[in-house]
Amino acid sequence: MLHLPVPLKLTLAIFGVLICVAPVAWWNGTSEWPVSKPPGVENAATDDFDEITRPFLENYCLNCHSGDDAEADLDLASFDSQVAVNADLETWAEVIEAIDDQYMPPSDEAQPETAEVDRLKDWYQQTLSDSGRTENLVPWMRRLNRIEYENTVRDLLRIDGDIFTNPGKVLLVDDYFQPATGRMPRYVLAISHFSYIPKRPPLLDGVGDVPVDPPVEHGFSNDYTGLSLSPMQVERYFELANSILDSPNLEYICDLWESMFLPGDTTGYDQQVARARARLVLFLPRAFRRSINAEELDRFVKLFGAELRTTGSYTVAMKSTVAAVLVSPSFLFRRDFAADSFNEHSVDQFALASRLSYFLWATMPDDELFQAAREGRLGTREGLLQQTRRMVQDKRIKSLSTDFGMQWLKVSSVTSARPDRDIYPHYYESTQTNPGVSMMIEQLLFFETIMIEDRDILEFVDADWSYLNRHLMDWYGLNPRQVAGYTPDRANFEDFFRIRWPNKHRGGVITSGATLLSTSATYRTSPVYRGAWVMGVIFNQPPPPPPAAVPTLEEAGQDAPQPLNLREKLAVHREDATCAVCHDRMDPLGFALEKFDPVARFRGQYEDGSEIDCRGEIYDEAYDGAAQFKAVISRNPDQFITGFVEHMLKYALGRQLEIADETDIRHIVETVINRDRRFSAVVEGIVTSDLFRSPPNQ
Amino acid sequence: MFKSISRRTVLKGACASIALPWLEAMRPLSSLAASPVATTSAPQRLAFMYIPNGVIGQHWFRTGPEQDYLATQTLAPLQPVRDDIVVINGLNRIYVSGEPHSQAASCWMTSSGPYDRPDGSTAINTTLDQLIAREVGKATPFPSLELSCNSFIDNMEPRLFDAISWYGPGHDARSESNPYKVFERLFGESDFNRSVLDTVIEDARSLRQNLGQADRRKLDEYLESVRAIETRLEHQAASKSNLGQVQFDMPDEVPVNRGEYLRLMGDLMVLAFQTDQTRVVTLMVGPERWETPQLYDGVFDKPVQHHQMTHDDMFDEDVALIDRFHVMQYRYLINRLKASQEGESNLLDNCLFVLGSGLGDGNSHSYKQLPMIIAGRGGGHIETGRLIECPEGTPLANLWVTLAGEMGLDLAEFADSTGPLKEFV
Repeated sequence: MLHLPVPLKLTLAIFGVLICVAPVAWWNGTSEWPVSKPPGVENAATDDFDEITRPFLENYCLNCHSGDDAEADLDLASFDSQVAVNADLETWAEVIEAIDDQYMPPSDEAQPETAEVDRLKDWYQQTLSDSGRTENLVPWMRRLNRIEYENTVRDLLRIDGDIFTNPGKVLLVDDYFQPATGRMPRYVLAISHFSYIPKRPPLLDGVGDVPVDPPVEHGFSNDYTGLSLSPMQVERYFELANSILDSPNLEYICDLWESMFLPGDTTGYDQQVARARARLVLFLPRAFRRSINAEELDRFVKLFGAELRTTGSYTVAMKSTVAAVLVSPSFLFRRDFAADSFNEHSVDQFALASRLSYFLWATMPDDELFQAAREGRLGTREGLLQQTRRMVQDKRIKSLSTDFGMQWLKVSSVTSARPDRDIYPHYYESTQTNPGVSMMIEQLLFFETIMIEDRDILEFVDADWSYLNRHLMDWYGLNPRQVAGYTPDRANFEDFFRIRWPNKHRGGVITSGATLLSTSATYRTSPVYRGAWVMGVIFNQPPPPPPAAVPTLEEAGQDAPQPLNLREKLAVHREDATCAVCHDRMDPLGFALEKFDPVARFRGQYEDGSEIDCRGEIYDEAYDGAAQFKAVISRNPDQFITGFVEHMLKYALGRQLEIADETDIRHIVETVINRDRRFSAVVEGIVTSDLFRSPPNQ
Repeated sequence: MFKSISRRTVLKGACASIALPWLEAMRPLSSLAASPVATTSAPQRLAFMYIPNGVIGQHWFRTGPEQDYLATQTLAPLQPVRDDIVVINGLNRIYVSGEPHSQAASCWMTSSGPYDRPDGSTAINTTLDQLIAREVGKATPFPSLELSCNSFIDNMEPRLFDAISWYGPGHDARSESNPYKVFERLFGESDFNRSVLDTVIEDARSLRQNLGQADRRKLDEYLESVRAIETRLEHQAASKSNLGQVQFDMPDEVPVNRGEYLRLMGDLMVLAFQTDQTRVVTLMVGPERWETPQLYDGVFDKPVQHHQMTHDDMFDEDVALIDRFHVMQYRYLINRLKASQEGESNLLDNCLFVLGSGLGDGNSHSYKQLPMIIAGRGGGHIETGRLIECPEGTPLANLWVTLAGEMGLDLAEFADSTGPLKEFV
C-alpha cells in the first residue's frame, strides 16, 4: 500500500483534491518506519478537560489570567471547553511549557502537585494527538537566501571557490577540513592563510555581493518567513546575474565554460540553436533542481534564438540565456517543501534531494544525488542514509558549521563587539587581528571537530579540549608551557592547536570566548544577556521580550542607602513580579559565568576588589561557578539535547517549529540518546524523520 | 541643451557635497507629464527620519508652559531653523504585548500592533509611506526610497528591528545602507535586457498556474518587483539625458562616523527629491536594540552602545547628547533642502520632513509622549515656527492621517486615529 504522509491524506479526504501520485511510491522502503498516527476520530480528551484542566486552571491560573485585565493579556478563562482549547493550540503550547518549566504559577502563588502537572501534560499530549493537526496555510515556496544563492550559482556554473564577498562568514583558507578522514588535524596552520571575509576581494571580477537576509527572531537566515523579495532585491538579482555572466574572468574559472558557452563546431543559426537546446536540456533541470517540461525548455531556447539573432554571437546569446535562468523564479525560489506534482515523474524524490542538499550543504544537489533521485533511491531508508553519509563526508558539509553552527551559536555578533578602549586597551593592541576574530575561529574549529569527528554533542556544553592559538592562550591567561597539545616550536601566534584545557571552567561553547565577549556590554558584563543566551542557545527556550513601560533595572535600586552591585541591582529588579517571571530564570544562568570579564578573561574578583558571587541552582542542583554549572547541565542533558535537535531541525526545515512537530522531535531525541548522542545521530534522525521526508502539502 | 555635460561620478575622499545649483529643468519629463499641475506647482514630497531607542524626554520636552519649546538641551540646535519647523508634543501610539523595540520601529508608521500569522511570521500592516507611495509614486521612477545608516551586518538581528517601511504583512521594503548603491540605483545606467525580462515574466506566469494560494502570493512579490523594474525603465527612458549629469562627491568608504554617514545618506535623499526620482523617502538612522557600538563623532571619542546606554540611568546625560546629535543632523538636512531652489521657492517649502522615534522614553519602552518634529511647508500652506501641544491621549495616527491628506491620499481611518490632527494644517 501507498504510504502517504498524513497531511496529504487529510487534504485528499477533506477537499477531495485530485492529486496525480508519482509512479515512484513516496515511501516503499523495506525498513520499519514510524507510522504517523491517523487523525483521531474519538476525542478522548474531552472528558478529561472537565476533570483535569478546568480545575487546574481554576486553582492555579485564573486568579491572574482571566478577564479583560488578564496578566500578559492571556485570558485563560476563555478556554472553557475542549473545543476552545483545540481552536488555539499555539497558546496552549506556551501554557504547558510555562507550567512544565515551573515558571508558572509564580513561586509566591499556590503550587500544583507534581501529579497534577503530570495529569495536565498527559491531557495535553492526548489533545495534540487527537487533533491530528497540521499546518497547511503557509507558502512553501521560499527564496534562496544569500548563502544558498551564492553556493548554488557556484555549483551550477561549476566554479571552484566563493563567488561573492560574503560578510559575516568566517573562513579559513586551509586544507585542514577533511571530513572524509573523520579527524581534525592536531594543528591548523594559519600563516596568512586565513582571512576574515569582508576584506577578501570577490573571485569573479566586477561582481557585487548578495543582499543580506536577516534571520527571524530565534530562527535562522533560511527561515522562509524572513525571505521576502522587495523590488530593490529583485533589481539586485538582475544586476548580479548580469555581472556574473559578464565578469571578464568567468571563462577562466567556470568549468562549464567550454561545454556551455562556446559554440564548438557549430555554425549557422539553426545548428547553433540546436546545440543550445541540447545543452539547456541538461542545464535547466540542474538550475531548477527538478525535471523541466517542454514549455520551459522552449521558452529559454526561444530567448537564446532571439539573442543569437540580435548579437550574432553564440557566447553572448548563451550568457543572456543563463542570466535569465539565474533570475527566473524557478531558480531563485526553492520549491522543495511543496510536495505538489509539478511533473509526473519522481517529483518527490527531486524535492527530497534538494531539501537534503540545502540542509547539509546549503546548495543544490550534486550529480550523484540527482542520479539517486532519478533512480528513486532516496525512497528507502538505506538509500537516503547512504546519500546522507556520503554527503557528510564531502567538503561541502562545511556549510553545516559555517551556516547552521555559527548562527546557532550567534558567533557573528562577535564582529560588532567593541569593548571600551579605556577599560580594555589590550583588546586593541594587535594590529593584525583582535582577540574576537581568533575567538570566532576557535568556535568554528570546535564545532567542526564535533561534527566531522562525530563526537558526543554534550561536548558542546563541556569539553576538556579546544583549538587555541598563542594569542588566545595569552588572552585567556594560560601558560603555553602548561597547555597540552601546544607545540611552541611551531609557534606562529596565529596557528591553532588542538589543546587540552588545563582547567575545568573553560571548555565548551558556554564559556567560549566568542560567547562571553558577544554577550557583554562594552563596559561591563551582562548576566542578563548571558543568561538569555544560555536559555536560547543551549535550551532553545529563549526568554520572552521585556514588556513595555515597566520600571527598569537601575530605577529599581535608586532608594538603596549605598550603591548596589550588579547582582544586588538585579535582585531588586526581580522583586517586581513582572520582571521576576523571567529574570528569576535568566539571571542565575548568567551569574554562573560572572567570573569571566566582558572580554572573556578570567577574573577572581570584580575590578573594585569585591567578591564575585557565582552561585545558582538548576535542575534542583546547586552550583558555584562555571565548571559546576556545566557539570550540572551535563548530568541532566535531556533539555540540551532536545534544544540542539530543535535548533538543527529549524535549520533543516527553514521554519519555526510548531506543536504538531513535537512527536517527531521526541522521536529524534530518543534516537540521539540511544546512539550515544553522536552528532551524526542528530543529522540522520532529522533526515529520516517524517517531518523532513514528507513536509505537509498545502 | 544638456548634451554638453557628461555623466560623472566623482569619487574622492572629501565629504559629500552636491554640485549646486541644481537645474530645476533636470526633473524627469515623465513626471511633469504625469501630473497635470506640475507645470505650475512643484510636487509635494514626504520624508521620514527615524531615531531608534526613544529619547530622553526631560531634555527634549520643555519643563512647562513658561519655557520656550526650543530652549531645551536637545532641541536647542533647532533655534536657527525655528521658522521652518513645527514641534508636536504629546502624541501616543498603541502597544501590543510583545517585543517593545521591534514593534517600535516596524509599527511606527502603521500605528497598529503586529500580529502573528499562521505561517509563524509576524505581520506588519502596510506602513504610511507605502500607502502614500502607491498613489504619488506612480509619477516617479521610484515609488519610494528606503535608506538606512546601518552598515553593520549582524546576522543575529531580525529585520523587524531594522525596517520601518513595509509593503504589507511579511513583506518589508528592504532599506539600502550603502551610499554607493543608492547612487548607482538612482543614477546609474540601467542594464536590463528586455528579452530577459520578458522571458522571466512569462516563466513566472506559467509557474504561477501550478501553485497553491499561499505560494502564489509569494510569487506575486516577485512579479510585482519585476513589474516595478519595467515601470522604472519606462520612466527613466524619458529622462535618461538628464540623469547622466548628476554629480556627487562620494567618500572612499562608507563613513565610520555617524554624522558623516547620516549627512551623506541625507544628501542622497535631497538629491533624489531634487531630481524627482521619488517623492517619498524614509531614512532610518539606525536599527532598534542592536548593540553595535557606534562612533558619534564630536560627542564621544570612542564607539558607544546607544541601546545599552538607554537602559542605564547612569548614562541619561550621554543618551541626551546622542539625541541632540541626531537633531543636529536633522537640522543639516533641513538646511540642505532649504538651499535647494525650486522655482520661486525652495525644496523645503514643497516638503514635509518628519523627525521622530517609535518610543517616547527608551528606558521604560514607553509608547507615550513620542518625540515629533516636522519641517517644511508642504507646498506653502503649513504654518511653521510653532509648537502644537496635543490633548492627552492624542494618537500618532491622527498625524499620519493628516500627512496622508497633505500628500493627496484621503484616509478615512487609519489604525487608532480619531480624526486628522486639525492643529497642524
